[in-house]
Amino acid sequence: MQYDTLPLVNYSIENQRLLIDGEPVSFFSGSFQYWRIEADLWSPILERVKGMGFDIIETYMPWSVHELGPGEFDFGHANPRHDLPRFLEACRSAGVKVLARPGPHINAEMTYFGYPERLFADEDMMARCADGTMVVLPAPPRMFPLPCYHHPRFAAEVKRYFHALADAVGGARALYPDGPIIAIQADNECSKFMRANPFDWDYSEHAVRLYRAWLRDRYSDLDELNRVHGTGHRAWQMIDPPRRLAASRRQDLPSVMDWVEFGEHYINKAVSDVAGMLREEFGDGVPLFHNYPVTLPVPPLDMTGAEEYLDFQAIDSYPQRTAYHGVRAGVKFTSAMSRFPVMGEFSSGSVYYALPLSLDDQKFTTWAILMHGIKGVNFYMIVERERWYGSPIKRDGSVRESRYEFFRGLLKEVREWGLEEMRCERGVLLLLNRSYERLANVSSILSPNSRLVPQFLGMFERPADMLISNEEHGLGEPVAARYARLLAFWYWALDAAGVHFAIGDTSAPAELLSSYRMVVTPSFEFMDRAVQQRLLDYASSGGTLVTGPRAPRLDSRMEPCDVLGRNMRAPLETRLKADVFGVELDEVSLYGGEGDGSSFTYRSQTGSGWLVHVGIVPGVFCCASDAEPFAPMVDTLARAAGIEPAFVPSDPLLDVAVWRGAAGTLLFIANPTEETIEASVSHTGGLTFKDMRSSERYGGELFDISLEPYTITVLGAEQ
Amino acid sequence: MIHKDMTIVDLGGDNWSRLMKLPGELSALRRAGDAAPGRALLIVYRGLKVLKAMDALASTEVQVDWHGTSRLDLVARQTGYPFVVALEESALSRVFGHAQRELDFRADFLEQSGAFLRGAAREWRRTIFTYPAGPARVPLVPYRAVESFTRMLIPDNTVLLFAVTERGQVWASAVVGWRDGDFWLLSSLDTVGMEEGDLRDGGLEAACEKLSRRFGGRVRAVVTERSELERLARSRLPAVDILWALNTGDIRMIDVPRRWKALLSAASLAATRR
Repeated sequence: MQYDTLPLVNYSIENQRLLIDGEPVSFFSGSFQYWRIEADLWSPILERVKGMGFDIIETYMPWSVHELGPGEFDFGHANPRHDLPRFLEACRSAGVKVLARPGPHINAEMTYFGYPERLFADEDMMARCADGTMVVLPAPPRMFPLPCYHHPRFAAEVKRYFHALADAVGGARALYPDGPIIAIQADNECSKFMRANPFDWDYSEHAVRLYRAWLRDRYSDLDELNRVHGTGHRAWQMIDPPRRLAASRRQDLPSVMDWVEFGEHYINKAVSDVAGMLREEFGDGVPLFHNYPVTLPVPPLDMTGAEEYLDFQAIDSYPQRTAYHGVRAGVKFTSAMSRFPVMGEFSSGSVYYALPLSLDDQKFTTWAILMHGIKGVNFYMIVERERWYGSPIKRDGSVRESRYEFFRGLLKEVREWGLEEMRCERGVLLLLNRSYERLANVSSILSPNSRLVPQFLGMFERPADMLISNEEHGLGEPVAARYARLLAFWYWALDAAGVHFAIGDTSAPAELLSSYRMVVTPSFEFMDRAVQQRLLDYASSGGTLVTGPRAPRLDSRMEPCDVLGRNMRAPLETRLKADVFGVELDEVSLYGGEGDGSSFTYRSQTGSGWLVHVGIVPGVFCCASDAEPFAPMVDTLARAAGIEPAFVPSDPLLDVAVWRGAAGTLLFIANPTEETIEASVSHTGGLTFKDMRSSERYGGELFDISLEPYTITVLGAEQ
Repeated sequence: MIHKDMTIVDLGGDNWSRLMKLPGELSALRRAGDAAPGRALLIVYRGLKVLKAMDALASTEVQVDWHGTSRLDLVARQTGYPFVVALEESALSRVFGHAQRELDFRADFLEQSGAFLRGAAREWRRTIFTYPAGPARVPLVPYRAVESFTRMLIPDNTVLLFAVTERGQVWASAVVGWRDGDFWLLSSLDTVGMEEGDLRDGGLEAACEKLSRRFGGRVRAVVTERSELERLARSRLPAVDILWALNTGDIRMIDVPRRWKALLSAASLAATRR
């Protein structure tokens, strides 16, 4: 197709906002699945959607709905509900922009998740488990085998569908400003369908070929690969991926870790191939994005890698209010790591088999994600449809008043308060280490369970290592399990100290690290060479790096590398089951007296910054109260890094976030518990505040506040 | 038995929320006063190595002396857990493997689920062990038997309305359609605009009439007050109470086959507290 004569949309992403023709887009949308609604109702329903304040809707464009048979498609000639061009025209006429999600995988609670049933008869095209069986997704109303996205026949099938789809809607003419489409999603929730344990799948012929090619790119030289893996392959074609975890020595780890890391490439390449096909059909004048099905995209998900070929990477979440911290952690991550932090799917109503989401849950969770840094939300579903309940607009176009009013009020407040132009203020970055995360994924007990699953059980509110094996893999300690516990420890200790922090991972570039005054990250015997260097550079150029308990001596290939470690001391003594601040820790390393006198930590000058070594291996920490004894230590570290805790509640269970922008300062205070909390909030800025909803005023350097269970109060600073 | 393209529509907002919560609320009432649920220890092992041992409810780690799967009694004695489950690290993937080997993507969902149950049965005492040890083999009811029983139980072309009311007004409802050996419909009274309708004084008959017009088939209804359900949940002799409620009209029924009443009574007899 040629688009030379079409006006290309000039889009960009700046300051975490999507700009079209230089104008920021208020990225709040709702899902509306046209093929499940009578065509005559489309326009009236769009008017009601607009009535809530939305001027964007999102829709899947399902392959299985539009395909009648191989190469034969229906875009309205056989079934008026399938008339996608008419639907897009209805949107355009109504002044509603569209986020298009053509799949090929769409879920939408559809039988076979939007894939045409006929595909599954081609067994050769399907992905394979380690035991050679097809990978089945156990989902109602029919379980089905998963296709291998790297099989050329599957790619050709997808391409044929996209071509037909683009033809039907007029290709780039469907794009804004000619048409209503302002962004297209490449595939959906690509995460190996949550079966993300590295030893589960994909061992199909084309996946293994891809693995070999990836190794070849990585090592170039077979001898080098044999040296690192400890193998004796004579040709690249001889390499077979590991099918189970059999790493009793640390030298066995590199080959396993390569397979795990390849899993990230497997997903990224799948999405990038789909994105490439969409570019071919629709041109370059439209942002492409993708969404992860979990809030915290740990390996094999790779947000940084995804944003190399996509314009932005979103996350999805359907939280109950009790899942506050799981969602909060994911939002803290995405708002730090994505160039445009968006919820690709956020609950509005529920899937028929899920526990219900009450209106109060909806209010609390929606404000919770906005409070912690999400800049755009697609509410899934804003228009009810088959296999879904509780949306503000019903299938017949009538409205559920209470929910309708909630969304209308929400969008009004977000826009009136100028939240989209503001930035969430955070001085500390809690950094996940992708190598340790990979090891934790490898060590996830009971495959197909993976590191993604605990997120649905409560990643930090339950023992963080509950589904991670205690194996040591020749590293002298169970690194994966201890890493998970350390993350939870820092998460809760920062919280208890009232230090506002973001979450990122070690794929973060140096510029991102340097925008934080303090970076906290666990360290063990091995650490990727480039990561060691980046962390050291960060400290040397003025940052405060808080790390430990171990000084890294190896890189991720288990070869000597102490770029960071040589700046850290060996302990004088190590105590097991030691008491610190009245809390029993699994292990404490002592480095001699220095600083604040707690000898399990010391601070050393590194260039113009600082390296703080904290030599503790914590036990189980599941809430801020568990970590409260460590709050003074964290407070001292933060102040030494130049961070003045700005708004500190007297009850550590209250959560605070500060937003600043040209429009002013907003203070969010959340009570994510089942009890009413009465507490005071201290601050040093000399500001007075006004409740943005009730107009009640709060003054002085210490003000009292009372919050009902699961509520969020928003205060605005008065100049 | 579950139609591939099962229609699941108009579940309502509050209606379906209440219905989804109802089983939990009723079981809480039923459990009230009972002893705390038994503790269970989960062990994941490889050979003579324990990869993780944890309290299955609290997810907290437990230290165990491991003597292999043949001596789970020792583990139980040492830790004080009355119930111990030991899974070889590959147990779950092996269950998936068995199921995936025989699974037909065109087969019924329940039949497909059976493949997973059969997989678990095959792994019983190979990679899945418990203390107390349980039976030597896990007996499974064949899918065909379940299918035949269901066909026998539910007359073809039935639309079942189950509604829970509060002072006569619908509080929660479900509508289930059965045709040609398949459950083909799941809906609620919201679908006929009666999400909170009054089912007294002919209201129930009107609802049935509307459902019949909308979906065809023969509508059979079971309706009761929420307070009555709660009373039954608390009952020590539910069989007696249910029979009483059927006779007094506290459980209202329209066009319900006798076999359903018999089954309901039998099920409640089984639930009688010892």
